[in-house]
Amino acid sequence: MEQNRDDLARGEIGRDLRDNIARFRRLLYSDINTDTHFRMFEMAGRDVCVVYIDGMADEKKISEFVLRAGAEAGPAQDGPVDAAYLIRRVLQIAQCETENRVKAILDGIASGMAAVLLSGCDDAVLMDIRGYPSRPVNQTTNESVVIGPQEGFVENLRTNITLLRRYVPSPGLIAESMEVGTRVSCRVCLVYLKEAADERIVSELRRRLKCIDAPSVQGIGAIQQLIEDSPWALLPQMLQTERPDRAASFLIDGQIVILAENSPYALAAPITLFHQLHTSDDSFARWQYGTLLRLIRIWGMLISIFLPGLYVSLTDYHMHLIPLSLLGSISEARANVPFPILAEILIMEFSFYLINEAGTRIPKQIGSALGIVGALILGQAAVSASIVSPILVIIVAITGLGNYAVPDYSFSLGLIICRLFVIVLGSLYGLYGICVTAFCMLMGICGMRSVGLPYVAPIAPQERHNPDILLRLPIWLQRRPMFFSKAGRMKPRAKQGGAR
Amino acid sequence: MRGCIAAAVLVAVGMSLSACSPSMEVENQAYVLVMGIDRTENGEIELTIRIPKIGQSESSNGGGKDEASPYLTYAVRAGSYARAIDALQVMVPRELNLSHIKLIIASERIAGRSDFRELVDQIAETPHLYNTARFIVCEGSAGDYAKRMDSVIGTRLSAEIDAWFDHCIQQGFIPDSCFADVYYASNSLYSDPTAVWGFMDSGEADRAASLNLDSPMRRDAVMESPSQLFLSGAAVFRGGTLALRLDNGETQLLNLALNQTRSISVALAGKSYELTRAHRSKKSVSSEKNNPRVELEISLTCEDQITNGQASAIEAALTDSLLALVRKCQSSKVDPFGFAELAAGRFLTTGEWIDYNWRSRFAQAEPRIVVHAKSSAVP
Amino acid sequence: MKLRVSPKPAAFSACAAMAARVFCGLSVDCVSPGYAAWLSAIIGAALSVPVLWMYGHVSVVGGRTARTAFQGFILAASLTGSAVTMADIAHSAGYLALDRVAPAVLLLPAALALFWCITRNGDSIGYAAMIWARLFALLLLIVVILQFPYYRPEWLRPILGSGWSTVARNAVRAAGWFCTIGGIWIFREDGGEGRSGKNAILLSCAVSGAIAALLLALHAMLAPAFYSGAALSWQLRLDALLTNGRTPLYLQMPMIILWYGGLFHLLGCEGFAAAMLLQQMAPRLDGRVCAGAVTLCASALALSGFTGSRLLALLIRYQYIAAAGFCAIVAARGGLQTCADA
Repeated sequence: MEQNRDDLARGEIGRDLRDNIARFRRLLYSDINTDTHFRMFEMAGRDVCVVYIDGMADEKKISEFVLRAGAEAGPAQDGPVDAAYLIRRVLQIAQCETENRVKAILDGIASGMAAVLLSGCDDAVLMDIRGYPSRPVNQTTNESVVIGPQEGFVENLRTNITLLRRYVPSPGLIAESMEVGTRVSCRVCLVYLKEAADERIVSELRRRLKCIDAPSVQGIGAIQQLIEDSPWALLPQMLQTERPDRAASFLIDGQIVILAENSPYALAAPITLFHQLHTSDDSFARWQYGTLLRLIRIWGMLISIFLPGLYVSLTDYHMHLIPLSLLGSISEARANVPFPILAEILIMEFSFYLINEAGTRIPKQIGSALGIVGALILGQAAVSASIVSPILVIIVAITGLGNYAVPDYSFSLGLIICRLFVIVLGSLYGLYGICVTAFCMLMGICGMRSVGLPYVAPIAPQERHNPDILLRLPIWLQRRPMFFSKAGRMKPRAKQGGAR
Repeated sequence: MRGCIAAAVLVAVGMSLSACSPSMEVENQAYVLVMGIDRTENGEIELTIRIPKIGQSESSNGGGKDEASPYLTYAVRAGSYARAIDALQVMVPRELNLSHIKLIIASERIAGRSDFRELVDQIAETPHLYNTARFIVCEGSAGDYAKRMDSVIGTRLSAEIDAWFDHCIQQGFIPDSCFADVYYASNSLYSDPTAVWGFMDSGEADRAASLNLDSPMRRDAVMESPSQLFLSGAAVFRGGTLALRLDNGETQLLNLALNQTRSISVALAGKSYELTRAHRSKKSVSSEKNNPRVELEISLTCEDQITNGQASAIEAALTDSLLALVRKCQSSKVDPFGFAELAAGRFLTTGEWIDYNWRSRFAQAEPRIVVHAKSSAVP
Repeated sequence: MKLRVSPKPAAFSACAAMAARVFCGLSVDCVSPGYAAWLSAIIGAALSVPVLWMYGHVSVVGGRTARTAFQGFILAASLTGSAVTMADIAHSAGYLALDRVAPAVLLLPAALALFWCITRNGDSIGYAAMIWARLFALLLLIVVILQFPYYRPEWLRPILGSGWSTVARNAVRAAGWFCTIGGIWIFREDGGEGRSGKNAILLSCAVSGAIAALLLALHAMLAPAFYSGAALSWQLRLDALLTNGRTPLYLQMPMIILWYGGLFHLLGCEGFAAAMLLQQMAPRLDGRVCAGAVTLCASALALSGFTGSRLLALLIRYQYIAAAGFCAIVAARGGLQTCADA
């Protein structure tokens, strides 16, 4: 049965309208799927059938610009009545095209388009009259800024492209659409600025997207996993942003942005490690403030990775590096704690992750209660019950703050995994273990690539760059093209990674 | 391949975990803060250590006599330093941790022995004793001196020791040196090291003997602590053995020559003058025939208005005192002034420098002291 | 997996490794560290330049046999260098905290790091060295600021230390290290020929020589060399370097990070050079197999005690002479052959 369905979806439509309708009825399961509509009527003297899914296509537009236009249209005067004639003379829809492939028509209907099937014609008209409900453009939820635009991407691809065009009003802004997913397709859009983006990087990304052979692709996160260079690496090599202004700045720098239907995020590539530490605030604030904020973020990142491991290694192995007065405090605080420091810190860390994860999933109405329970009651009770020492609560809290200072969510999750390695190695080997871990992490990020370009460029390899990497110096000094742009010198390494 | 790598990593982690299981928890350590080293009548090494109690769970009956004291005191005697450390390890109820020693006290008796340098080397080689400690040579028993160390400033012994030493160094009555300085200088080719001289208030006679009350420097220059311990003066080592003792006034002058103190107080004709170093003191060594000539030039300013006559008197008094100090050191064949470093710079190789035999040359050297004193006050 | 390295990453990696190796070799790895080691580092760098220059001729005029022989020489030197570095790392870990842990366990993280590092390939090692160069400068600045009041410049004199013979002996050892680590240039992916390649050699030698000399001078100003000349234990040598006793202990963390960081980059560079040369000599071997073989061999050598043996000390003393002699012979024969062909 399933095999028959696949056979039906293959090939092109025929000239017999009834056969075509029967074919699509079977393909759309209209006997059990009550959402599918097959509206028969006459248009320009021909029997036609409009096929659409209720709720996905805009019924008002169908009534106004298809049915009424069909009823008002007289018999054909200049040539045969076919799909091209309907588009030219009858249908008052801006986006419509002829299509004869059953699969394409089927995918179009599934994504909210309406198809007009004609009797005696082996072409159908596919009309973009999507009318499904979508969220209006709202404030960003995860990438809030103090200064700067407040609007974020939404789930509607068209709206997102429009947002980008508003920020980059250039004729060179290209939006290439394509479908990915072999069974359930997803519409994605490769957006780039023709004058800025390096064609080789665009081609490489286009190749990777086209190579995706997954049955279904659920949004931008799945696309990222399928086209990244190093899927085993802990840190992301592409950046997701929900801010159109940020995506626009990537486009202007020569990066490529990928948008997907139903994803309120844009995926930017190629990126470097340093992009993960930048935010929109940096650009909108004066350079002194931007520099300060970046330093704070870098500090936060270092604390997030190393502080708990450092605490374990210093207290377990290198007491001589702790000032004696502080050492006394730590010893006294730990005197009644029954667990070794490693266990203590792991208990506290995982409690923190638990609170974090619960806080993300919990309804907003009771979120504040969780904060109180997690932060105040549990922490206080754990200290009172001598499960953990007070100083460790401080360490874990500062670590958590450091992690929150990292702007990119995926990146911060990667840092948490790195932190666990540092804690374990620090508890086994002290500073030696921490240095080994740091060295391996350094080697790891130096070996990573984003769309074939080194992840730690332009520091390593050294490329001429704007003073906007770790620090952010005045805006009038930032006139160089980015190293990955068309005007930049660095070219991607061929055939790096690719779609899986 | 991946399976092999994963297995190798698992084995590695397993081995690491098994090897590191006896962890050193911070609260299980006995942090030695003070260590006294002495030699008994029958030639045994006596080590006395003081350890702070941790929390309220630690009882004070582990060797400490004073229940109220926040510290535990342990003392052992053994044939050698290494055996004494081993004995302490057995005696102390927690893991002995020497990484935070703040003070090493050696008695005058042990520091004057010819084998003291070997003992210093052994202390420096003790695992995890990172020899950043202060170093005192004391009169009488080092153990008694260590036992009297109690908290005075703040709540922690370390704070007291640091504050105590810093204050004394600022005043110039003790040299600014630590155990590592003595250790390195004893083994190197340069000037002779100095350590802090300490004594206990065991009687007026002892105190008078320890302080130079006839010095032109301030007469009440004694740092007295409620625990009746004093730091005053310097012990100068030659080849790692105590060779000379300087009183507080002499140490102040030595510190002035070494640029380790900025001000000095001089009492003349019943009046006290506060003098501040105008420039860094200049030292030079010049060769005349076989014997070198050592020169020291010090410029001081007085904040008060002084006449030319008073300035001359101050210059003369200080010149005489410095000259006496240099001659005293020459007679003991020790050079704590740093002339050796200057003289060594004139040689190309250490062989030539060793052949030059600086100690003997210095003893024969002709010292020249120049002191300038002037008023900085606007007339 | 093909092990390869591009010119610029190779230069950075070798530069970091040379500075670290010469510093270690003339301070911590030296049983009786002498005065004037900084001078030996400078002279060693100067001595190595002509040999590194001649390396280019080995591949041009020496033919396959000479090239293979020289690859073998550099491979052996890099492998023993990796082993020595692993032993240094283990000693340092033991000195700082883990003195009761078995040496094999101490070597494990270093071995895993070495394997991971080689399998990341040469460019990653070079990029890491580029980042390390910046971190190194920052950490060194912090260390110098923290230790500044404790430096004694007068301890650098007498200027020649124990004399010309010691200076020359140490300079020859340093030159040997410069020459063997510099081999990574000549045997890299695109060869070492060309003007830019030679300039890179000169520049890297000069920079690493200067850095090593600076570090040795700073070290000498903090802890004087002992006049007794007796062999010092690892404990004392690391004591003088890492904790020293003359600066507050809690300020020593940057120094420890600097030390470990330098050693790991040295290990990565030497280990990668050995693995790359092994693959070039046996092209059928996969890069990961070469990495595993080098890691195992270096670990075994470090565990065996060979790294502290007199034989190795002797070999290190003469590795410069061997390299220079070999280059001179090959260049001379090549020159004669060229004349005959003409």
